[in-house]
Amino acid sequence: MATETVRKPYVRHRSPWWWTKNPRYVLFQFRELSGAFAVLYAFLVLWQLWALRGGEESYYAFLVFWYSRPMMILNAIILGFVVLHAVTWFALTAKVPLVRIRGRPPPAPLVIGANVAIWIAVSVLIVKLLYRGF
Amino acid sequence: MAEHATTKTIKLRIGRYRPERSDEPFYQEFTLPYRDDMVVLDALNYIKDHIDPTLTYRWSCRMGICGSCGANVDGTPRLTCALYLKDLKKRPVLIEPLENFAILKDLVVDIEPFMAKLESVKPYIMRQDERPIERGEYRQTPEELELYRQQSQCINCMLCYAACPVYGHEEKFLGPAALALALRYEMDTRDQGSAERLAAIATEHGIWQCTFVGECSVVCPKNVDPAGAIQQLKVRAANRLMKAMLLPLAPR
Amino acid sequence: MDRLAYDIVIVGGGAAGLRAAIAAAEISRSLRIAVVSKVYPMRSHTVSAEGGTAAVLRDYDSFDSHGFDTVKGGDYLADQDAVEFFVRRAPGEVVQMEHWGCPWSREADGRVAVRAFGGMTVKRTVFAADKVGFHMLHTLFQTSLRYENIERLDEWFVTQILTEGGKVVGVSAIELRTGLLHAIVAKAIVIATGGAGRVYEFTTNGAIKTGDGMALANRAGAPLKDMEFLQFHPTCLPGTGILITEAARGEGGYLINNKGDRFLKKYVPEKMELGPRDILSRSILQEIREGRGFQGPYGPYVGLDLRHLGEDVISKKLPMVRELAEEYAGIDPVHELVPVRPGQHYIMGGVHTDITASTGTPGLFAAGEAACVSINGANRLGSNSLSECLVFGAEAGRSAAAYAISQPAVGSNPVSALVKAEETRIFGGLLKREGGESLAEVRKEMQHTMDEHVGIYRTGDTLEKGLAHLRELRRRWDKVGVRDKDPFFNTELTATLELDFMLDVAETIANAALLRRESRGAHSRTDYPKRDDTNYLHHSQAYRTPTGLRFDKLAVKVTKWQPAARVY
Repeated sequence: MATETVRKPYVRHRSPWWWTKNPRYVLFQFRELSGAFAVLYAFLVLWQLWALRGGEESYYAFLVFWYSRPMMILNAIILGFVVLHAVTWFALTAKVPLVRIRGRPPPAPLVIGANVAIWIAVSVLIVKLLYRGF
Repeated sequence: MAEHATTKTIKLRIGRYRPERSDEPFYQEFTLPYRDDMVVLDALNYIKDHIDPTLTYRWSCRMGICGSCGANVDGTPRLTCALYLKDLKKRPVLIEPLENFAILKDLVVDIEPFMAKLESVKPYIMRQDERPIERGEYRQTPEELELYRQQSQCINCMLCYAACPVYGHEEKFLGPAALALALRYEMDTRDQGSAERLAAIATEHGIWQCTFVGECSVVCPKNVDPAGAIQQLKVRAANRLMKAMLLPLAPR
Repeated sequence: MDRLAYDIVIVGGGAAGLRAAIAAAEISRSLRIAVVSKVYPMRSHTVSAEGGTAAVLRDYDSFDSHGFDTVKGGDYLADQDAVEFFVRRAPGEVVQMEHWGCPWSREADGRVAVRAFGGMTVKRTVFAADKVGFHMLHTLFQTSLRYENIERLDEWFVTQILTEGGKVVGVSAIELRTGLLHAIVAKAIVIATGGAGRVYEFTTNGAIKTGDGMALANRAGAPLKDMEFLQFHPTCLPGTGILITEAARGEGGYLINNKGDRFLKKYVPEKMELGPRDILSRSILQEIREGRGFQGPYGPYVGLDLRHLGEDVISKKLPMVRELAEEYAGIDPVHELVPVRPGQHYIMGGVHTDITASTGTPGLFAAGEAACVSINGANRLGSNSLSECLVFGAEAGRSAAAYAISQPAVGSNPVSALVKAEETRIFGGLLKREGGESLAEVRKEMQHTMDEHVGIYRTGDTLEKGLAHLRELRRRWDKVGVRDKDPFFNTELTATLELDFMLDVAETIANAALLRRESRGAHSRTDYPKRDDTNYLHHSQAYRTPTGLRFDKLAVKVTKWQPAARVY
């Protein structure tokens, strides 16, 4: 009988394009990427604050840059990603039941709906605060 | 068995691996008689019985409860015994060994790493005080049973590991099924081993490596929802940590 | 070729095997126990059991009641001392399982719930929705992980029990993932390999139920008892043979013919759908023969009516029945009839053991479906089998532990020589065979022969023809070629070895059936339709000798319940 019958298991290598196979994987990758854009926006806001700190002239210079076409496009992209981030985040809130109503977790649409409603309400409030008299 | 007058056929393309012949896996195509009521497993059995007896794969119960027969069919992890050929659109039907596992031979993969992970989450009732048998069962209401019922349905088929990109990237990741099993015991009112179990799974390669892709729950044939289970474990582990930090003298 | 040594080797990792392992492990931490299974334990066929586990748990119940139901259910062929022992141990086992985390379904007050089941006069069947086997197996497997002295050899295929001087010294097993044949030295061996349903064509059993342990034990000198008694479950899905649990009837389901009648009122007027399985299977067959069955693409069937139970009950108590009916029969039981017909399901016969799970061969024990104690007699009541696995699995573990502790270590010399011979047989001989016969063909013919000749109804004529054909297939097996020449993970080789075991078992079943010239329990002879206590109130014992099968008789132990007419 052959003595050398101990075989080596074959380990398959994963292609760097693994995530293109499946629409949910694609959504996942974009969802994760959206975090980077959220961070980018945070830095842009910090830059805006820094410019404000520098006085009226520096702030005006910043605003000229801020309202330029490339920046508007970048803002649109960032908005898209942040909305994706928020929507996918809220969609997942129903996954972890923190309360139970009569032994069962509340229905997912209720949880997601409640979160989204609060998000919209807070957003409206912030917009109102920023644009007093709006 | 019902026979059809005209024999329809179907073509399958199957991933093979014969270590004694070559170092690399290869594909082989088979054409066989087709009936509407055939599941993928029936096709594999037909090939093994009548065309190529060397085709190697796992199966047993043929009713979707033993968890042996997992494979990647047309790119998606499925149980071959619970998937009808008539529901597959691509031809030839592509059957490959379960993704993210090392191949031993043909469609048989190495599940030893999974067995070790199963053991590491301490999947049994741990108690400080044992009740003597004579005093009967621990009381558990139907509502309490419902708390862990879903996660208790796992048949260890590992389709979730095949679907999980994190596991595909990092072999040490404890993974969906093992962690869902941990939640099953966490939520069982009879268990008192939460501290020990959470310590074993709230680790770098445990729950914290999950990025909630959610594909595991999509492919799970038993609706265990391992993705939801892992997020629940994260909340529990985080709560425990906060409690320990803010109330260091409170009992665990 | 390696040599491993354990105190106890348990062949088979299902309910009985794992329960035995845990029981032995609890006796002493220094005992080294190996569970050797040809599949990972979670795949053991226990997993497919659906209905429940019977035990006396309620005040309205009694050991006498459970005992009598079992004895009468077995048509008075059960050993009553074993039954009395069994009914007394079952409740403790159910509670033990619960302590280990088994998710038994509950009453509103938190107690373990019970349901009605076939042949049981009161509700005593503990259940876990309709997946009792799945939950029990996973509970036992996961609990077994706590014991450091239980080692597992997963996907190791046992090929022979090794004996020396009449007592067991170990087993030889192929390690599938390397293809190496190993000698495993053991002081005690427990056979817990389950039944042999795959000798039949239409069976609820999975691929692995090939009677390995029965054949292994028989070849090692232990007799197989009551092999003529096969249970045909009344409600299997046509085509696949997938089991639809008795619990569906326990929860109130009806069986109806093509006229819409609950036809069982003609056969079992008192118990109706909860009559014992042997009577129900015969009744269904009778209805079909008289033209009152439905016709379908897989042959005739009757209807299981669950519609009146309502969606709520079905979802809570019978969720897997609904899944299986939808997936494999394309119907929703909430709205439609489930097509069902009788199919092979269980074998009452098996490796003979006494009440301590000992086979008589020193060091060899058996438990579960592979064994025959006998508590099931000529027909098993539903939900007794899982309780049997627990009670006698535990007993086998304890007996094996006691025996192993009393024995000195096994020397290596006899084992090495025996395994060398086995290596030559398998790798020098079997694996190299080119042969002319096809494995699948021979297997299919065996299964077809059993279905046709050794089914629910038997006669001397057809049994003799069947037996002759099986013997011919036995000879043809010698010419079955093995095309996969690589010993590594060779499922063609293991399938050939399984067929070898199955042909032995099939021959024993057919031969035993031929010799029993009466009808009792699940064994129905149209040429001998009556029960004959005068001549046949005994067990059959089948020994395998170099010249073929030799049959013997073993008296039935009667303690409390004198054999009487069996009417429901």
